[in-house]
Amino acid sequence: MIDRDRGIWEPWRLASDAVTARTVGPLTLWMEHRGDELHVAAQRAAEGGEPAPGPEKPDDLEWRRWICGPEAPRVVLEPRLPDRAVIVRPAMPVAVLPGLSVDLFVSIPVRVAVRLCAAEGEVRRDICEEPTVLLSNSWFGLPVEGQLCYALKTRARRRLEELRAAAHLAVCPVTVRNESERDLVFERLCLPAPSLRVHAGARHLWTSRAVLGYRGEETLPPLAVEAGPPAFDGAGPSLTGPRAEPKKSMVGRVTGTVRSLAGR
Amino acid sequence: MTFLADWIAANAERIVRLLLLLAIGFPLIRGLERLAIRAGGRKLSPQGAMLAGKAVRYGLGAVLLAMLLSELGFTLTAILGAAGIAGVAIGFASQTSLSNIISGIFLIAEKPFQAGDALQIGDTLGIVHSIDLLSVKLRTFDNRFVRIPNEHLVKTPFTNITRFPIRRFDIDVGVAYKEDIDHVIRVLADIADKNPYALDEPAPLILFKGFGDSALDFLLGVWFEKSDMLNLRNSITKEIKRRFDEEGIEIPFPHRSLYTGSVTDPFPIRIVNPERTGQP
Repeated sequence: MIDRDRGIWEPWRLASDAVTARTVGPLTLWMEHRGDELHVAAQRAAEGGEPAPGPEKPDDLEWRRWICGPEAPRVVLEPRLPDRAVIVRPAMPVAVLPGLSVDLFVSIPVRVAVRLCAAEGEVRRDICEEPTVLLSNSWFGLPVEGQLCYALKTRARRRLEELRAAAHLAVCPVTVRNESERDLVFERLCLPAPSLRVHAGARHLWTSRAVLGYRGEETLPPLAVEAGPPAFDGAGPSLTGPRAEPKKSMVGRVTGTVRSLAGR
Repeated sequence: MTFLADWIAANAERIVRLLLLLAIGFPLIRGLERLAIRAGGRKLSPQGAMLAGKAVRYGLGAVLLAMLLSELGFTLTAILGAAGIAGVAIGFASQTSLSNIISGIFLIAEKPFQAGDALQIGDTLGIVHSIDLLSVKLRTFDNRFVRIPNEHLVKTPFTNITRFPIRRFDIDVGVAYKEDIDHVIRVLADIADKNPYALDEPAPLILFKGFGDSALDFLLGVWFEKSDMLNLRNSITKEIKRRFDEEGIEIPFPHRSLYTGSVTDPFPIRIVNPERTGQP
């Protein structure tokens, strides 16, 4: 028996000796409590395709198992942002004229954490984490020193209604203010994904809002990650906290970000 | 037995002092060596920490030895004098070893590599296992132990493969002469773009190198994070073959065209022994 009829981010109790399939965008997670073991397998749809799990579990799944005790465990799925910064490139470069401000919406594929709950609402421990989309690697910095990031192409949409609702995408609102006297060409942006929170909205998942003010090449631009939920789509309290708090070295990252933004 | 008992009775105090020196000295040196390794580990590289530990061990060991000899009644001045003469003699006899030691000091100071780096020295490729005063030890990827004298390393060019965090993997790709060059370039760019281990920045290098003997020659250079070497090599070469098959791009094997001197005339064939073939 396969149980599919559940909300994605709500905890539930796994039935013993039954297979549960949960689909988050292109990712399907298969779970089974067998004896005192929890078995988990991930299946990812081909690029651009939505998974359509059949009535039976596929034979070629690569299962992993955890000894969790004979009692059927309560499980919860959590959306998490990538564990590295994400270098976002718009499909076509965007230039912001001096004195103007723009809101861009960047959709980031989340990873899904499988967690065990000890009691109602109390999260106990991580079991595993699976990316919904395998992002390509990218490099931020010089060939001799830098930071390994993920690469992401975006349409950098500017209107909320243009956003595609998808369970596996968290929308990061980025406000870019060009306070300098020259054009700001948005060619790429290094988003500190591990420092952002994930919030649930009515139609979309959201991340903390990132605000970037550019005052010219010599000035350190203040990048601010707002703590609360973004004021879009009725986004509520955070589903997932940041993986890491922003560090002091963030100032350096911001400098690099804006240099990139300025196209140098 | 009487003599031994008398000697012990006469030197009881000295024996106790010697035993105390040994009992306290060795554990103390061992403890200080560990402390130096731990303290060095916080501020130095693993190799530097290991050397700090060795310096403490051998330095304090020499002091302990001097104290033991002094306690046994030896005159240190005479011993050091004799050691100086012996040192000159030994120095002449062990020039190679001294050269290795001095080369080792240069290598440690210059830090062209450290323990854990992958080195290519001549035909030998391996991970640096340890850097010692006389030699560098490598562990090859098929798990063999290679000892390379420091003097050799100072004289010979070598490549530190893992010094920088990212590297480029170059693949030579040949396609048939009938293929459209722009189409091949687009497909190669798409393969690099979709491979999760290939960095999108620095951008992949795609170069049409020229007209080879049997193929149009391209170079695909993709950057990767150094720990992804095997994953990238395995995945991107498979992907090139798969995509070329899908796109109908032919990967040719070496051709040899025989040319008789004229472009349009057919290749002349002369039958040497028509009776045997039954043909006129």
